[in-house]
Amino acid sequence: MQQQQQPAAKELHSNQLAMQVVRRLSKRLQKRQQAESGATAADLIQMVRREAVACAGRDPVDAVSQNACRRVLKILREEAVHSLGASAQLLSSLQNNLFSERPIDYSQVKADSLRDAVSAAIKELLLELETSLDDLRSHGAAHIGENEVVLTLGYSHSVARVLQTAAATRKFQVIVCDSGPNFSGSRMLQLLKTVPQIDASLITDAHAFAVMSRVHRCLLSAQTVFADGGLRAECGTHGLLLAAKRHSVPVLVCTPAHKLAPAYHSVERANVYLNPACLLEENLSFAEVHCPKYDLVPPGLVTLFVTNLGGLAPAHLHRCLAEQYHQDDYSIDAGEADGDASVLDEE
Amino acid sequence: ELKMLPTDSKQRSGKEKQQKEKQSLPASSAQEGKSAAQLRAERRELQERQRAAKLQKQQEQKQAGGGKGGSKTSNPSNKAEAGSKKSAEQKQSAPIPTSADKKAQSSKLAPPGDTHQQQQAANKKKSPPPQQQQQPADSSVKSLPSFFRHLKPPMDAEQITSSVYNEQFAQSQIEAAFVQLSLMVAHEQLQGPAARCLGLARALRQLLCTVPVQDLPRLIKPKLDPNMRLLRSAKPPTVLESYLEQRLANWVQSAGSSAENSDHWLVDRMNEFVIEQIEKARVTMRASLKSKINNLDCIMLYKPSSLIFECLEDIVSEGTKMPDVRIILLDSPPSWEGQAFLRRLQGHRLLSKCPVRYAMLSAAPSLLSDTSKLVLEGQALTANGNVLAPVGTAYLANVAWSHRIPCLVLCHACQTWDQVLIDSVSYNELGRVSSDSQLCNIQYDLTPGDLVTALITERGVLPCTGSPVPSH
Repeated sequence: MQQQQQPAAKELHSNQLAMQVVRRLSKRLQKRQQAESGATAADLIQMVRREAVACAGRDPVDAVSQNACRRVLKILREEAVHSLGASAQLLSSLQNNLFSERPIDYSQVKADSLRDAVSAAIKELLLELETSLDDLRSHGAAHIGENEVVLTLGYSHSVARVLQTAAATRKFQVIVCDSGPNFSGSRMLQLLKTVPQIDASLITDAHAFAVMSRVHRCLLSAQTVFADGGLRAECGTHGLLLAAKRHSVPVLVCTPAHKLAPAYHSVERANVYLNPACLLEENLSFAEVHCPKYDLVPPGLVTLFVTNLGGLAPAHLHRCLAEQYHQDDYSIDAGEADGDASVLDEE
Repeated sequence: ELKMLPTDSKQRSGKEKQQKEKQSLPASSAQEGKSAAQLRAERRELQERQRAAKLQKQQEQKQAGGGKGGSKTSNPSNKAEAGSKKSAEQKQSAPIPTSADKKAQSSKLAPPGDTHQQQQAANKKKSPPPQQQQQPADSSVKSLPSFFRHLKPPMDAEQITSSVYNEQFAQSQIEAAFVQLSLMVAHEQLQGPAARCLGLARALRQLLCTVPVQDLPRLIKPKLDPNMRLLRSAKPPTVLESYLEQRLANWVQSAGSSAENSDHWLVDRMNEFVIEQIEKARVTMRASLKSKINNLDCIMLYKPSSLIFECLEDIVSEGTKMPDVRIILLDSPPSWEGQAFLRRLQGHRLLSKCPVRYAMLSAAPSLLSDTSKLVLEGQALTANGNVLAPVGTAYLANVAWSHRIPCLVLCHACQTWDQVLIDSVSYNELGRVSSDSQLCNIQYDLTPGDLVTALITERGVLPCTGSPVPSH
């Protein structure tokens, strides 16, 4: 059976994608500030929100670009609050969100006053995004012990880094699951075979239940992490996580924090369906082929999220969300005004 | 055996090389018109290289005796050649240069070249082929997880024919039918739980025809043993096969005097067995399964065999009573049995009544919201109530259980086994993979009994705990 290789068209890692978006936004912000002397913070915020909507429109599956916009929005909002000369009580905190009545009026803040602070904060953000994958691997490697059997699915840059870091100081086994229709497992195997302390082998995901009784850890990655602990991950992840749950094998999901989306999991989230020709020949096309690229995994199956900010229990994801994004930006709808919806809605 | 070959060819090619070198030197010197001193220097260089090559060969032979294998032994010959030809094109390297070899190399020898040059050189040289042949064997063993390394790698046709020759050398006769059966089994051409048992029955029939009836009780065992040994060496026996063997032994034992029995009593008994235990059982199971399938059901299938195909035909021929049954067919590499099933369905009248959806096993969880029930086929029912089935069945049963979808497993009653298994690792078989694939292909996995809603046998529809407890 022919296995389709994805065309190697300059594959961007998620942090590189996020950095691209942030740089683009920062240029546009600067231009806006220079062009329009009377621009206020509200205008800038509106502009970035529109960009976020545009990102979602371009690629509904890609949460990283939207999240990058949200990070920039958080910077804008925070700096605006600072420059209002506000005291600590206006700054966002758990208590204040409950009790504060006065909404912040961003149109009072001039864009010029924000310029330096915002550009400094954006520089910091870019630095954090750049080092996110490196920070992640040291947090992940600690969970793999000597002579343990680690199960992983498909090819993932983050997981490969974590395994390489762990292999620097100890020997262990890795079993790579290859699952259709992506079949990226052999790429991971080739990479792991070059690491001396790793004993790597390849199985199909049909074998996942069979080997699970001998596996100590499951190390996976996700395309998006939802706020309730659900995932959008490579097809095959859901079945694998169910097998891990049955055998009580801890599941570690290695994702950088910019993949964390402020939306709840639902099976109706965006998914990509691949061309059936990658599985079936022409003359068998009387069958309706169901060929999703991603699995939407419900919450409750992951033990720990390993992020560049450290290990995070699924119950604490909301905390990470609150630190990264402003609550007003959780929900960004197409054709909206400056929404203040604090209910987590569609992306 | 395999490990001896490279050293033999190494010695042969070493001699050839030395001859070639001797031949080429005078020619080159004549063409280039070198001085006597240069010639002497060259000869000295050549002698040194030959001495180094000889030393390396001795080292390699020691190492090959210790069981390291071909990649190291091919190194010295390649490097000796590279040195002797003195041209950049002839740079060769073993695909896996080890640190031991690098130490053994002299500093003059060429560094490892790239694979294109290696291929070019491989076309010209005779020594690389045995080295490349060895590689798949090594890499396939290496790619198994450690807890599966107790499993025997699958046999191929050459190994079977060589064991046939061994047996015949030991003066026991192997029936052609058994050889054919062993080859088919080794190449996994017999799919489905009963197929191997039917194949065994067919081969046994041929064997029994060669034995005169009077001598049967006496001769049957010595005749049968070498054949069964061959078959066993191809693959371990399935439950049905062992059952048939057991019954055969019982019949022979319990046979009275030969006068009571007709000419073909053993063959008759066997045919009876096949009809009762396999064919009639299939009919009963089909009827049972049909009774469990309702209108508007969506049935999920994984690795379905002809039994399920016939059952679907039954359902569709039911006509107006069951107009709307849909099928979801799941598939997984490397055997792609779902696609084989699709090919069977191609152009079949089933399709007009029964729309088919096809997906990979990994997409199963997303399809379960649509599914009414899951129908699987079992290979054996262990004594402690678990089901041994083709790999992927346990994965699917677990997924279905998490989504509260009933899981029906089809199993012959005589597929109950006296072995006790708790996981898929202690008993298993290695399947074939294509030579360029690194996949570790396990044939079976164990579905825990609590994941199975019902076991459909010809004796009734049972829970998994209904397996007979062996009396000790």
